[in-house]
Amino acid sequence: MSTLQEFLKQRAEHLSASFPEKVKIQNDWIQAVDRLLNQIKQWLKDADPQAILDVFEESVDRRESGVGVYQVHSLRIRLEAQEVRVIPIARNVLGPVSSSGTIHKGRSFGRVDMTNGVSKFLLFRTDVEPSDRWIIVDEDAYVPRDLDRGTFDAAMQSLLQ
Amino acid sequence: MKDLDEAWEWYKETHEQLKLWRRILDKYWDQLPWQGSLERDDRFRSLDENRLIASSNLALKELDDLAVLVLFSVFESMVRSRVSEEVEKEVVEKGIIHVVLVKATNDAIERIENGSFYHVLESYKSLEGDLVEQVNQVRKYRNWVAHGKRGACPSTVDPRAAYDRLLRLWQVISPNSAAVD
Repeated sequence: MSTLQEFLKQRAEHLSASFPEKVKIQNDWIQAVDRLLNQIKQWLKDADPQAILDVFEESVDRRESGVGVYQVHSLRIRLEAQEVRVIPIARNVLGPVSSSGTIHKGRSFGRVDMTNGVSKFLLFRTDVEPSDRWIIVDEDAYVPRDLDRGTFDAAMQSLLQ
Repeated sequence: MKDLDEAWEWYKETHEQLKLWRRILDKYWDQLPWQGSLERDDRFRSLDENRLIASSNLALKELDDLAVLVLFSVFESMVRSRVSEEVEKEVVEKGIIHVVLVKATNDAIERIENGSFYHVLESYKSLEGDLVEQVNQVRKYRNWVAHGKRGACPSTVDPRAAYDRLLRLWQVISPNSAAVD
């Protein structure tokens, strides 16, 4: 039977071997989320010349197998009492899927949810090469669409109404 | 719940009801005709809107994970039952009587019904390796939820993705089942 010291030594060796890969995945994911949030903030700014939206950036803690423990940014968007959160869920994600066959990804490279607490849009990072591709899925209809200004605006409006 | 469609309907309906309730709280609470029957109803007159919003938020927040748990539990039950029936049927049809084979078959049925579900699914890897692996990922997420979300989160799955995977594998295991809508 191994002692605690031996056990921890083995874990330390395992962790040091996997550490560089985890750090790479974490950094890649954190940067991808930052790029997405910056894009969202820009779209909001363009749509809101009256500046009636309040946009706050926050951090959330995440703990994932194969990725480790990390902090990643999220957004809180307020229009009076209405609030929408844009919150990273995980880097390692199954799906999305659509039984209609429109899209059928076994895995994604991250998921960010956009929700007002009632309705939810799931943003899946489905490709990373040559650059990030995000798709947006309404959790009810589950129809995937490319995330662009048009699909984002429609989703945000429905969440703020 | 006896099958995946029933479990999926439960999730969709529960989700929709919670969302409708939240919408009433958000949009129409103050417009409800409080003077009259509602204020005479003990269950309603002491309700606190903010507390109700917090409660419904909590219910919605956990519902998706609960749905994955329920969907997988129903799927597991369906698979164990179907595979066990098929093996028993084959034993009867083939007229197996050798004591060694009868014992081995009984052991196999016992494992199908009560053993590791991972091993039951493994048998189907030769038919649909990728799909079995995808379902195994749902299983890992279900286990993480079922054990109180302790430890690091495995690959995350939403209810629709879980339902889709489980239904597709079920159609491999039981080809006469209904098609995906």
